[in-house]
Amino acid sequence: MNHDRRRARLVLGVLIVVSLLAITLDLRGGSTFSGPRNVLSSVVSPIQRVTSNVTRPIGRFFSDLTKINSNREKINKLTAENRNLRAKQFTDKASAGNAALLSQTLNLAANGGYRVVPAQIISMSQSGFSRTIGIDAGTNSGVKPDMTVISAGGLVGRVVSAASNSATVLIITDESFKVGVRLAGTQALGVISGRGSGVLDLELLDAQTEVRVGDELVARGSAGGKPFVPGVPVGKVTSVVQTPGALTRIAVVRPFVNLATLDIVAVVLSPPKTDPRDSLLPRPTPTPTPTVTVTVTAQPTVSSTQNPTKS
Amino acid sequence: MNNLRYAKDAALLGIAFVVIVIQSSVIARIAWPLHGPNLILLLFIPWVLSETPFRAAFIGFLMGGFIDLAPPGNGPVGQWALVMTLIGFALANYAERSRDLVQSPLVEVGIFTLGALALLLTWGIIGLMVGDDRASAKYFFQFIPSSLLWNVVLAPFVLPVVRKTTFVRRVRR
Repeated sequence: MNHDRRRARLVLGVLIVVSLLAITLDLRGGSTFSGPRNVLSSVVSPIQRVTSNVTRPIGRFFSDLTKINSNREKINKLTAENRNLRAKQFTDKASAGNAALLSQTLNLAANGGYRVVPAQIISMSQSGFSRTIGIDAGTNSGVKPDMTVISAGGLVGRVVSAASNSATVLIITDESFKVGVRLAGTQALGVISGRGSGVLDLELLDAQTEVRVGDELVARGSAGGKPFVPGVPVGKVTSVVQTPGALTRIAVVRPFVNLATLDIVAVVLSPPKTDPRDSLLPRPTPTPTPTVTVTVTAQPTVSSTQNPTKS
Repeated sequence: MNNLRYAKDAALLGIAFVVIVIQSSVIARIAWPLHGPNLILLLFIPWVLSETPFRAAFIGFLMGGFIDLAPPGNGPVGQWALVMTLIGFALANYAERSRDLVQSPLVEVGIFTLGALALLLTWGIIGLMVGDDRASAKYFFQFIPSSLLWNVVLAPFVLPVVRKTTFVRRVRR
């Protein structure tokens, strides 16, 4: 036993000296131990990687368990942030689309010499082919009943009632809607009436008039510009109904305005000094309706000249 | 008989090295409340308590050296070796004098706690002496208490297992 003790003390002393030597050598900043360290590292690191990978789910579970409260807070925070960002992204996209639509609408108004107030659609009376829409401009902006409402494509409808900050617009597809039109390029007159569906009926007053598919129609204009200012594009003939012996000719017209995706409109406050005649019809003709979608890009020159008229 | 003994020593050292690797790659990476348990202490202290001082000093030196050299060790090489050599020797020396160590689980956990405290404190003091940044006030006042707390909680379950694994030598001595 005594021998054992002495041996143990000797070993202890040797090991302590070795340790201190190692510490000293290492602290002197040399690379004495980089060799053994590298060797051991190349052996141990793969094992560590494996054990770490294998036990990571368990470790994560325990980590989550210990941080369950702060994690929940974090999740709530991120969820709220995510929701806000989504909403922002949506409104950004929508306003980009709206800017394009607005500039197109104002472009039409400027070309026609109409004085307009822009408005956004805030309600529709029914889904599908809605007959009236609510807009966010009213008598405060100068909107009065029996004013023409246009959008980028052309005629949208007319104001039927106006409150201080909103107005109701009867749109052209309504069955009670009637507007006098002129066949573009001719003096032939007709009346367009809504059918409660996506298309309109055209009744030409003179049965002798030649109507062809593709003929375009503009609003004839009412006396004093009420309810319709002259020159607003209305639609395009899609089919002609043959009615031999009848006093009038009937045709089916598709409106230039895509009413399903309508968003930005403009109320015409005063008619132009001179009738714009056919100048507002969309050119080139193959694309009658500047598609009313958010992907439409505004022409930079147009938007820059038209933006000041906003607000 | 000697061959068998060396084989067992080698096996135990292998286990110790694996435990060290697990400590750094698994236990240390879990975000415990306070600081987590230290498996190295939970293995080392009961092991040297059942060893002769001579062997305990060697075990401490080898385990400490492994901790020093194995990734992600970055302190001065020899710091852990020195601490564990000293503590291993001291604990084994104490255990040899007081034979009634395993009679009461409470005493066993008490000895373990004191041993762990001595080890962590010695490491910190040596760290202070050699200018190791890790031996900070945070280490002494936060890491040591929480580490001890965890280890004391786990000790009643782990110590008997380790004692039984290393018991053979104790009887033979």
